[in-house]
Amino acid sequence: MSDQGPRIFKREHSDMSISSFVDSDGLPHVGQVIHQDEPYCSTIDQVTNSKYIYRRKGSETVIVDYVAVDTKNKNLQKANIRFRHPRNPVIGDKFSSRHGQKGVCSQLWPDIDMPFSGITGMSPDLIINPHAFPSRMTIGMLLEILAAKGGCLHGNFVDATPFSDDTESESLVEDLGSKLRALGFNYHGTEVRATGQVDQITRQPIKGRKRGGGVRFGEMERDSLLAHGAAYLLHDRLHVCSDYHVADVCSLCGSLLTTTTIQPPKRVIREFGGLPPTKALKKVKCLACQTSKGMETVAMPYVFKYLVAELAAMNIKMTIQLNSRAAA
Amino acid sequence: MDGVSYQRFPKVKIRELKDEYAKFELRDTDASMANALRRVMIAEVPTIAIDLVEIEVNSSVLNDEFIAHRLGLIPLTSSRAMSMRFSRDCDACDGDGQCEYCSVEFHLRAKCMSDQTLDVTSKDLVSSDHTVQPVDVGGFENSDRGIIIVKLRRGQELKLRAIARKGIGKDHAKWSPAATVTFMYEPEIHINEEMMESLTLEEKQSFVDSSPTRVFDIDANTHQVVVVDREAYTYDDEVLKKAEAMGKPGLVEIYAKEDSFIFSVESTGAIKASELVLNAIEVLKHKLDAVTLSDDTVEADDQFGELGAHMRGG
Ligand SMILES: [Zn+2]
Ligand SMILES: [Zn+2]
Repeated sequence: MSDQGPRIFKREHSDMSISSFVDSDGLPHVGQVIHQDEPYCSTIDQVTNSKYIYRRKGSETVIVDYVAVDTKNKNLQKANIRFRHPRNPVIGDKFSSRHGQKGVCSQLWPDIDMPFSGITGMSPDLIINPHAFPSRMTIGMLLEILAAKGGCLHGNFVDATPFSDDTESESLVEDLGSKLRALGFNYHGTEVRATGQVDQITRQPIKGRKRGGGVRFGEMERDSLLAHGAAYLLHDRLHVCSDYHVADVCSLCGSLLTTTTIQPPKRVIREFGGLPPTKALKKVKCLACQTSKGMETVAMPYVFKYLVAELAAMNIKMTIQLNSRAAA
Repeated sequence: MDGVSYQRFPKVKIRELKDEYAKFELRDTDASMANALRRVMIAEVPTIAIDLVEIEVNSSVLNDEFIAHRLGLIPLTSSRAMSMRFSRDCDACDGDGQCEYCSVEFHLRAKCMSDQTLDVTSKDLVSSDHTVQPVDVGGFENSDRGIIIVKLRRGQELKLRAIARKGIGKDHAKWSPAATVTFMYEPEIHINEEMMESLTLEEKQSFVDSSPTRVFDIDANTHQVVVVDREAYTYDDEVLKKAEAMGKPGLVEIYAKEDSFIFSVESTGAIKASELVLNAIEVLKHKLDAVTLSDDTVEADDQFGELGAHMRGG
């Protein structure tokens, strides 16, 4: 508007309300901490003498990093004020790798709650869900992870030039894999294993992501596999990866519930791993028949055993007849 | 309930003890106890670290907060820390945190006057208390160097005052005295000799090679497969899978002894590794004391009911 003149950076000497934030030149001090709604510079209209105070918007606390002014003009009309924003990672912050794998920080854990390696004591800085990889196909990121681990443990740099292969080995994967193997890691990298949480009663994977469960492989998915005749995959999903259990059955009386172990042996290390035990090391006998002669092991879903127990509670007896014809 | 006691008497056997490193066995206890010890060593054993920085001049390339953060991460000799006061409950300075009972003052002045880059290191920190100093990181090639804080070029200057205070790793990782604390179950490996003898020498070699770490080897004279280092076993199951693939399940049996642990402890240098372990036990005892109800709170029985009685060993 015509009645307004040029505005210059300045603070009235009488204006003590902002004197702790803004210097007499109307600009902030370098290193000054500015909280929400606090003033950081002021201007005065040279004609109307009206003042204007600039206040910090937004809830972030900032620090004045640098102030530069245009000295060509006698009056301070142009200034460059730069702020520093200290930002620690918080839950909900979005991060991205160089491969465009973006994701949200969903939890911050203290160091002591992170998993650790028993031998070296190494513990992860970050845990990423491997489901982020198949559909997005960022193979480069997987390779970079391998190269980074091998490189930092060997103490050398890894050539990441794309579309070139100076190595003599078959493939980059081969190269990186053998590098890790030389350091005593697993070639395929199953160093950290994760078996999911299971339900206490059924020993089946629990439902609900919130409680640490996975994505359910339900009836409709099962039907789909049946239609494809993918018997092995079906067996793997619904049995081996679910509640695979090797139960002791007495072939004399057909009971699943009267078995008991004699002298519990030392617990087998397999309990840490994922594989089911290949050979029952314990001695078992049937309490009803008072002998271990008829004991056989049968692979079955653990819920089946639970069902038998539930039925027994209602006075219904279920027996199993064993024959070896299907053994082949 | 009467007379049933679950008390155990854990044993510790020290295998290796250096100033900054300790390796020991912990036996006759369970994983909860071993893990409690690990967690306390990392997060609850107190040390001293720089906590407050007043910067007078800083014309270096790093900004004030960055330098303050770097100063905080420098390990300081903290043998005094256990007997020192936390600033928040120091009554000599009313929580001001600047008195001699709860703080140590440091000064740093550095200015680069030559054309060569000046390294400002932890050695340039001047302490007000000779027992609290930046740790000596000697032992590398240039052992006169400390931990680099910032590099200055000609004309740049750094001048500051810093206050170091007692704290624990739970509040900020800079107070953690532990570089690495880890434990593993002691493995027990049994080779089925009979089955092993049925293998050819090549099969034995491929079995030995299947382990990513060197756990097994072949005796040069007897051609027998022997366990050379059972603690190198990482519970990776590779040899078990190999045995299965060879059609010889049960060739080896590997157990984890669930009441024996092997600890490796590395200190940052703030306190000795041995002090770290002992202080952790001390801290753990204090924490247990806080839980245990004393005799004069029997009246509180109504409140705590069975739990209270149980905790007093009833
Ligand atoms: Zn029977
Ligand atoms: Zn004090």
